[in-house]
Order: sequence, then C-alpha cells, then structure tokens
Amino acid sequence: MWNLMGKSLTSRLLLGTAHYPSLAVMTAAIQASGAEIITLAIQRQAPSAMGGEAFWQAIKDLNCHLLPNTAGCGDASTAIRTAEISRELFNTSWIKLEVIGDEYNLQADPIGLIKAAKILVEQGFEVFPYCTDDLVICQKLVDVGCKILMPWAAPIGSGKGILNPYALATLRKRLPDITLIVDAGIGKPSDAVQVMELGFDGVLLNTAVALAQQPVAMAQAFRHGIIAGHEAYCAGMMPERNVAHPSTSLIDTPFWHQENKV
Amino acid sequence: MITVFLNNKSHTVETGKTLYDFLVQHHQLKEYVAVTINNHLVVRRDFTTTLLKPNDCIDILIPMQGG
Repeated sequence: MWNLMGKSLTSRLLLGTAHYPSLAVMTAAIQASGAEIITLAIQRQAPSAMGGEAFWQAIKDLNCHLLPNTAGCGDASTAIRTAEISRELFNTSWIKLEVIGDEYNLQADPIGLIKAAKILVEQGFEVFPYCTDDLVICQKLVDVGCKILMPWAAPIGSGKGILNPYALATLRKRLPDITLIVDAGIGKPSDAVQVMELGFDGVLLNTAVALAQQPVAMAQAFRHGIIAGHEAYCAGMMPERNVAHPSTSLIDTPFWHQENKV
Repeated sequence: MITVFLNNKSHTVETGKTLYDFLVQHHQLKEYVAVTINNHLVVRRDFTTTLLKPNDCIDILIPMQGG
C-alpha cells in the first residue's frame, strides 16, 4: 500500500483511457492492469451529438480515482480554465496539468506550466504537472507548491523508453520527498521496470497498453513489471562491478588449481 | 425572444429563461456535463439562477478518453 494525495493505493500504475480499440477493451485492460487511477479529458460536445454517456458509464463502473488532464492546452490561462471545468465535471481537485510548448514532440512549456501550477495550487488543486526531466524546472514546480511531479521518459506516445536515465535518477536523488511518477514515453514493461528500479513512485502510461496487439495482456505485463521494479528498488540492488566474480566459490572444489599441476 | 448559441448552433428562447430551463429543454441536464457561457464556467448550483442573455454562447463539455 502507498499513499497518494490522501488516497491509499495498492497499484503504482496510472493508466490512460485513450486509443483503445473499444470501450470493452479499455475496461478489460484497466481491470487487468490493477490501476486505481485513470486519466481522462474533456471535450466540447459536437452540435448534433449526444455522446459521452457510454464512456462516462464505463468510467463509473470501473470505480477508479479520476485524474483529468488539460490536454490540448498551449498556455497557462486555457489550462487553468480546463482545470476548473474538470473539477466541476469530475468532482475532483486532482488535475494532470499539461501546458504544451511544442507540437512536434509535445514537450511541456516550462514557463506556462509553472505559472499555471502556481495559480492552480493557490486555488486548491492537487496539481500533477506533466513536465520534462529538467531538474531546475522540477525544483521550480516544487517551489510553487507541487507535491507530485510527472517528468517524461520520452515524448508522449513515442514508446522510446527512458531517453535520459541520468536525469531521472538525478530527480530522485535531489527530490527525495516529492512523489515522482514518470508520465509519457514508456513503450514496454521493461521500461517501467527501469523507472521503478530508479526509485520512482509510479508510472503513468497509455499508448503502450492501448496500442499493443493484445492490450489486456499488455496491461497485465505492465502490472507485474511495475511491481517487480518497485520490489527490486526496495530490496536494494547489488552494485555494478567491472570485473567478474564467480558465483560459486572455487576454493577446495575437486579440480581447484589442477591445471597448474599438469 | 432572444437568440443564444448551443455548441455554435443558434436557438431561440423566451426572454427570462434560465440556463437550467434551457438545459432541460435540450436534454442536456446530465450528470456528466459541465457548462460554460461565453467561455466562463457556470457551476451546477448556479444553473437555476443564471438568466440567459442575447447572443450567449453556451458550450456543453463532456468527458472524453485521454492519457
């Protein structure tokens, strides 16, 4: 069990709800993943559409904690307005704050992000900022009141895994009291294992499960990977060495140094 | 009568109607919607006291899948 913003959780996997082949697959994948927090977004209803009900019902039935995002926002003011609407719609003060600075790699705009985070924290939101792995930007987000940081491993939806392990390890080292959740860029369960082995508190992903050939099976693979990585971190891993050390002690084995006697 | 816009589509409503009346009439008073008028959020508790004005742009926001 661990605690995230007052919620007692067993799973350290946060899962997105986009890109699945169907709502049924989405639901089955979320259940198989064991995730207790799921992300979602808001959209303006199309003039003639009455949509949204099926998705809403599926989400309610899952009984997960909801983490709405501010996807599509390119500046602080639209992100803040989106957060306010999300709080009203989903009845939660949690917000996954996205302020996108570049459409090519969907990198966060650090200036807009810090500005929006400061205002939202002051308004009582629990801000989960999607950010890069830049240590100084992360420290500034902490300075304005963020208790959680969600640095990317790689660009959103790229599946590249951890591009800069040093940067993530540095964040863990320099911000030991901050909840760190990698958000974005995870492609396969071994990436998630690596994140957790670095001592991160959780992993948020979406595309790696939703676009897998078998999303439900992949969700389960991530579930196991995140558990394994976290348990390995807690267990304390052996230090890496540059020279070989035999696993079996050779002293007094039957042919110990026999080659020297021939 | 006044003209207002619901998700960019024009509608004629009686003067003095509230947002609540309008949402009921258009089957939009649902658990899973949020409403903005002229890009400003109207919280649910204010639906019944918000009077519609000429050319108000009412937007219905609904949940969507996201990462």
